Amino acid sequence: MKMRILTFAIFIATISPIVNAQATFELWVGSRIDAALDRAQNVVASDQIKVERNGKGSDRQKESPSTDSRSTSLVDQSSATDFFSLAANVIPVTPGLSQFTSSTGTTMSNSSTTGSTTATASLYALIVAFNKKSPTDPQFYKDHAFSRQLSFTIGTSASDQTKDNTTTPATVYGTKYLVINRRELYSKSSIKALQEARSFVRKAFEADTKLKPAIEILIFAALHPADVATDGKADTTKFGDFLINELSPTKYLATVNELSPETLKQIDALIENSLDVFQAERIAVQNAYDKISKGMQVSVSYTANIRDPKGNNDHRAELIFDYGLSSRINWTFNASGDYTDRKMALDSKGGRAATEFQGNLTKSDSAWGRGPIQISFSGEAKWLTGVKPQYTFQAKLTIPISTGIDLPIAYQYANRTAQLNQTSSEAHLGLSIDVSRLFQALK
Amino acid sequence: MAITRTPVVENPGAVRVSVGSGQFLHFVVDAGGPIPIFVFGSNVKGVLFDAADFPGHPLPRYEWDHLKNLSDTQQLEFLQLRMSFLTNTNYTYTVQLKDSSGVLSTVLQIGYVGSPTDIQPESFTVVIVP
Repeated sequence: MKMRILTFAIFIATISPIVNAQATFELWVGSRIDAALDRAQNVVASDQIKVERNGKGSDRQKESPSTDSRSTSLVDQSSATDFFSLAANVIPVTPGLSQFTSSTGTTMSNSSTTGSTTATASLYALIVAFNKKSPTDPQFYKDHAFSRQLSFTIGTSASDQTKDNTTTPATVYGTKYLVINRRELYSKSSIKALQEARSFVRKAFEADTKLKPAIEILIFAALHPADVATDGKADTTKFGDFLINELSPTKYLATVNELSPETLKQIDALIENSLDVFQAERIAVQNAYDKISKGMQVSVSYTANIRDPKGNNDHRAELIFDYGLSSRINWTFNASGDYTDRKMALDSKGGRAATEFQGNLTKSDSAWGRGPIQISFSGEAKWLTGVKPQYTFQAKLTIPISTGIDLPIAYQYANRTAQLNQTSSEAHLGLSIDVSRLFQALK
Repeated sequence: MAITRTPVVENPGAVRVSVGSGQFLHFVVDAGGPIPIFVFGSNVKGVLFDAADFPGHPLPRYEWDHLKNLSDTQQLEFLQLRMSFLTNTNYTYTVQLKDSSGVLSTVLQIGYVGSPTDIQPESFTVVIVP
């Protein structure tokens, strides 16, 4: 019995390319081309091809600005959403969690239990709303590329009595301007990359429109040799009937199952002859994608946390730099000037430098689909007058719940307790909604 | 390679067109944006249309006719639409058989959702009948 099952399993595995039938004859040919490309790729072992860069936009900032102590972003990204996004730091630090993760054992619980929430919209989103246009209208999107460089943030940020002199949440105001954006599809460098990819798509089109008819004639000649003249020309009427009847979606499978192993080898040989063009197309499209998605971005931003009359106000002017180090790793650097306007003590002025390496653990569904699972490691050094230097480290895991909705979980460790509301280590949980992606998913 | 292909009317692989009685093919490509990249053409004439050739490109909809001009007809012409998802996540491709009275039938109607590095060709052969 076991032998029979094993034999059946081997049989299924052997014929699986036929059993797992494609819907049409063209898809059947396409699967053979893909298989040949994959085989060639393994031989070449080209990491140029085997890149699984995630959808554009996965490294945009959807979380609250770093000025918010509850934010799961220790480092700000250079670009915000194209349209509108919401970020909620829904779970403030719990004493239990802090105590569990505290390395000092002197953890104190946070006196404030409120979370924080911010909303970010690009100027483009506002123009779309005023003009009552679809945000994904291609022409409108193209004509208003400049308006995606500017974004605004508004929201609330948690306050702490010790640090902020009030427990009333601050109002967050922020703006960000993308000075250099080489990830914009309509930038000169992106257009050049797309034109190059297009030229390879055209070449593959030319090869494919010769290859597939050649395969069809080969099969016709193999199954109907009497209808093919000695010079290789098929009877056009009978060949037309063959295409309509025997290669139709419902009958092609029976037709290809009749082919001898020799004919299948000839089909694969024809495919092999065109493989270079298809491989070049794959590489060109991948290169264009990498070139655009790894492009450098530089932005300037300003964020203010404004509190009630007795509370301290925080201001941050920031330069943000983003660069794709590889197909999966994005590097971000922040340099900022910070100013804390204190009502009951001397003001603090100083600077801050922060950096983050963000890696994609999985592939996103598509450019506008569910984002990838991301892991990031970041560090921040902050020097303020009247305060000892503060160094913070953060590890963060971002889990996409569905298209447009992410759950960031962050762990922070700081050398000084004051910066983290009197705890030396904290866990943060947030929720970010990228309305642009959600909109696409619900369309 | 993760294209989701959803046929409303499956591609027949070959379609009969009676050009002599005024039949022709009408093509519609609906694109999700921001920049559709596709080429359309045949094994006889090469590339006939590139998305970028259309006035107003990028557009949410591209439309054209084929075989309306009798001099264009070619027996067993293999037509292909080749789509790149690099800067356009979803396409809907519709081909209708028409004559002067309007739409006679829908030859194919297929929706596609792909990842940026995906390429999707969709082809069929035109069988000219008297």
